[in-house]
Amino acid sequence: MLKNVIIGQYVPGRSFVHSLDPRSKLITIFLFMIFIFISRDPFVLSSAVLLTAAAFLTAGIPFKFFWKGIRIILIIVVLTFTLHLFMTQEGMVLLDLGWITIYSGGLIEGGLIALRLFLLIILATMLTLTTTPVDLTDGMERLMKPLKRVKVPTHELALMMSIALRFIPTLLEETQKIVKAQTARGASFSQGSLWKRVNALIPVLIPLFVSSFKRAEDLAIAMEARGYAGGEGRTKFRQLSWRTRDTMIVSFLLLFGVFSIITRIS
Amino acid sequence: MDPIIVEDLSFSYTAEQLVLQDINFRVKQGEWVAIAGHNGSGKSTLAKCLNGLLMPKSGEVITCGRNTKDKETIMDLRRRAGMVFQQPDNQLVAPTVADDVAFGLENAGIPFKEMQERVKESIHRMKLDGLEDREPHRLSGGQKQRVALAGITALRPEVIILDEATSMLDPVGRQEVQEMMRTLCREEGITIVSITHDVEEASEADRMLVMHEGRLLADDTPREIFRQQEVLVQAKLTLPLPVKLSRMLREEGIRLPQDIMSEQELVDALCEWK
Repeated sequence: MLKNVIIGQYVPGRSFVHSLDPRSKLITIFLFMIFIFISRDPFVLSSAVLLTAAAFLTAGIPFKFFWKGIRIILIIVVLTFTLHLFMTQEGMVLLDLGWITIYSGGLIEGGLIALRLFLLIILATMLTLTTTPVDLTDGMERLMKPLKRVKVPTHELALMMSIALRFIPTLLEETQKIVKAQTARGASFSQGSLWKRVNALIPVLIPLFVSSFKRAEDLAIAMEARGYAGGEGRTKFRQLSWRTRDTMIVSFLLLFGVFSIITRIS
Repeated sequence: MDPIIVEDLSFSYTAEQLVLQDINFRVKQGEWVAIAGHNGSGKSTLAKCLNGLLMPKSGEVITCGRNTKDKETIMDLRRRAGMVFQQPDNQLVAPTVADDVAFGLENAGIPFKEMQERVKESIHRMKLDGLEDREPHRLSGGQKQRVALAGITALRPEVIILDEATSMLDPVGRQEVQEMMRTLCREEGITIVSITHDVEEASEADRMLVMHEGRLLADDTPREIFRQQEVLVQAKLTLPLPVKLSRMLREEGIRLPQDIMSEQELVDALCEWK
């Protein structure tokens, strides 16, 4: 099941969406989210759908791959829709079965929230599909930079994230090794009751935990030996380039935002 | 001034037992020194004392003209004396090869333009061209150690300390790393201190220090040390195969020259033997 989750997997490409600066992508998506969550105007929402579709098409991600990946997450969308459908008691009665009543307000509310979540999932997935995790971390670090004034450890957070990214595959490999070693000694991970299977994981997690601490210690020593002394006075090897297209897309989104706010007020 | 000066060095992790005891030696500029010894002989601890990762309990360690006890110059010292560790997986910090090579340069605050050039140069020197964007977990052991070496050479160090850097590698990876050590020392004049329990690797060094139970047992050329049977026995070191084989042949009455050190020398001698 896990292999079908595609959030976090980068698909290399040279499209317009790929070529945007990670900062502008993050800002754009953030603004977009705010606007579609405050707007109820059908025109604004349908143009949001069109924009998302346009972004998806230009990104050039294979549709089948994408659909397979977000299918599971769409359960959340369906669930939220159903909840709103049954819980909202506004507008006129559409269906009355005695034990359950569906109102028109529920249908609208449910549809609205489902659409918003759906767009959110598509955009978040697309962000990770078109941006390498390293760029994403970098983008977040720079966007968070102003927070340094209020003592948020932005450099440390970004470093933690990038080390985590670096070690996820290594730890996965190690997990597989331990699982194999335990299987060779007669442990079973795919049989028995759920309780038994959960219990079988303990002899995997403990060695993994112990070796992770050993790794962390080694890494800390290696970093120290390479002259790491915190974020102070450090230069950056990775440079992000903010280009005209980034300014364009962000200003476009701002315009879209102003538009959606105007329709909300009037 | 010699790049490494160790005077009366003693060290202990706990109060009871000294891990290193009264160690004295100097390493000359451009020299290749192997520190050999059995497990627990204190050789890795000694390596960590050389760049100030561990502080001496008594005595002095002066590396690249800087005392390891001096907090002001420790960062500068570590830039001049780089270190490669045993576990290839646990010393690469960044998610890609190029980022990792740049890590030390970033720490040193090197401007972007220069950093870019140095990273490129180092990657080329360690023969890692084309792997710039590769993630560390997709590299072989030998490649990982070469990335670690590249990260260090980018800082243009005077000394490189290798703490059993080849011990976890397969034979191919070991050869790759040893070849790089040769280039760095013999062609570029970088001083190399390699901690190892591989006597074949040590036989290539200019000098060999033998450690045993925290003490320096011998300090001489590998050729000379291989002659001292009692040192080898005490330090639990076995002779490299070509050395051992040529000796056994000599004992059998086959007249080979004394002190054959490498496989190549043995092969040459056997071909000339009549």
